[in-house]
Amino acid sequence: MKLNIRKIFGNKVAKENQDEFDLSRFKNVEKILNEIGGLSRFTNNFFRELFRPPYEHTELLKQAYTIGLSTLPLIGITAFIMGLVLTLQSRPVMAEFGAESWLPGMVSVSIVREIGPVITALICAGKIGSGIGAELGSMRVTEQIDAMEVSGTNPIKYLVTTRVLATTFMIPILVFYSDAISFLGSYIAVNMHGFISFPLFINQAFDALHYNDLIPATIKTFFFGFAIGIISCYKGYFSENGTEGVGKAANSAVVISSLAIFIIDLVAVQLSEIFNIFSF
Amino acid sequence: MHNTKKNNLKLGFFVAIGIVLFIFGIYYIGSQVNLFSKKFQVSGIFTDISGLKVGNNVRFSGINIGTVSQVQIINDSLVSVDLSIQEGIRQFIRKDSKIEIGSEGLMGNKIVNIYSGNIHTANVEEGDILGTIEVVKIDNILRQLNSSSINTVIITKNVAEITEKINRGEGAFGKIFADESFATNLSKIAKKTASLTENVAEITDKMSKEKGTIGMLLSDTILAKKIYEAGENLQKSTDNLVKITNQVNSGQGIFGEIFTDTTFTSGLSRTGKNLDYTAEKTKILSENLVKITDEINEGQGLINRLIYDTAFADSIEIAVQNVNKGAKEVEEAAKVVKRNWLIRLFSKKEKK
Repeated sequence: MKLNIRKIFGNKVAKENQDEFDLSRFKNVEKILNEIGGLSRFTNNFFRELFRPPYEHTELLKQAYTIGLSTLPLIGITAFIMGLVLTLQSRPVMAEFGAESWLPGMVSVSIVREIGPVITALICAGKIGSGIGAELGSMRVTEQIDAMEVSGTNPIKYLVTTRVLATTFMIPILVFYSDAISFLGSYIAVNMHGFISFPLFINQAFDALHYNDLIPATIKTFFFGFAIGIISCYKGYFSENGTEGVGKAANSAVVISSLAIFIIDLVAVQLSEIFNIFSF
Repeated sequence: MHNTKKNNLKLGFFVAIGIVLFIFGIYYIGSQVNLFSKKFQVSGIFTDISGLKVGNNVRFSGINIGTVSQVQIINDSLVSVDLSIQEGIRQFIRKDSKIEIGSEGLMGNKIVNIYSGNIHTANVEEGDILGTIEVVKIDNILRQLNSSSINTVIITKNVAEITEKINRGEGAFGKIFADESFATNLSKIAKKTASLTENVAEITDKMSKEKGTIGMLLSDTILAKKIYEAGENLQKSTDNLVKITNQVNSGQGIFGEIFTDTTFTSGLSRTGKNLDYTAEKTKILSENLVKITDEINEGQGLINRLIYDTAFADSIEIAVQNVNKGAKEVEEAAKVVKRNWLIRLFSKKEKK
């Protein structure tokens, strides 16, 4: 975008600079601002359609099934390996301090507070975000969304609201599964180098946990799910330039969702530190 | 349509298990902090709580029975700590129970320990303030460790000096290590000690086989009984002695008078003096007797002549006979006189 500086500051300034002020260097900033503005408007539309009947129950359940249940195997395998590896990697350091008995507690806090929610959300951003971005992008490119608008179906309600709601509520549930399976992996890893009974492991793991570990971590997973859903839908819904745009939409859905997950995580940690209301 | 229903069922199952997992987590964490059990509150007042926080565990005999529910500053030097404890534990906590802030190991969280009080004291009630035991501060321990390490340095320095002296052969220990004659003496002592221990072993062996007096003492029950009886008699004797000495002390009996009555002792003193005087006189008398006997032996004096001179003895005998004869005559003369009427007259008057 080129802006004629004479139009803004008059001839005098233009003469002094002897050149036109090129704002193309701020192209990215403008693009980001445009994205944020567009996303805000899109989010606003989502909430507007969310409480307005009719409600798309069937589509919501279908999306929940696709997002939740079909992602479980991937999440399960990842969580198991995550718990196993985290314990195996931590064990030598803990053994050096003679604190191997603290492994379950340490691993449980790590998994419940941070690793479980973030890793699960990132995997979902990769799998679900790219799927939604690509699906809606291809629908946009093939003018199916336009056709829905013409036929009187509200595409925001039917496509976006259902998917965003599905991600918002399915990702926390996936995180619960992820945490549980990670505990199992950790238990196996602890037993690779010694012996600890499962009840003792669970006791030690939960002994280290408090509500200020579990509740903020759970709350933030709703935001992760919402962010993945809304960003992916937005990128797919407004994809351009044919099939190339579909790929871009899928890609940027994953990238921006992942970035959003970390930003939300940062904010959530700060807020839970400031409002330490679950410290019992 | 059938497929959708099946999917919905699966989805429902998936969501239900997810929610159950979450509820399990909530409940398990809650049960760790006794969130779902009936509780009562007690407090303790400390000058320093060493970083104790709300939510830290409360332990009784090493078992988690509650949590710290509130920490608040009362004034510039006192902090109140409220404890939320399971209702079921109330029966074990007394009004004189003490609370102390401890730690779960060196790197662990702070905990509050409750120590049970006197069994005869009443149970603790809602809102009671329990007595506290002040926290042992790490700073104080480190300070003591510092002084200990200083002492250790001094001790090691002294030990180094001592070992140096020993190496140089100075002092008794130096002699032990450097003087060979000392070593040979020690060797002799060791040999003698060995033989001594052998003897001791033999003696103890005999004793164990009930040989000898000590063996009998250890094994013979009759002897032991006799010794016991002897001991009893001795005891009685000493009791009697004690009685006697008590009587003596109280001035009863002759010995009591001796030791207690001052007039008696003064009399004794006089008697002693008289005895001294008598002894002196007796000495003089015996000396004179010796002189006399010496003179008699040497043939001096009348007695010597009486003993040794037979002629003198005969003449004395004759004289004695004459005296007897004279005495008889005198007796007869007296009888004649008695019969005289004149004299009888006078003697009757006297009788009257």
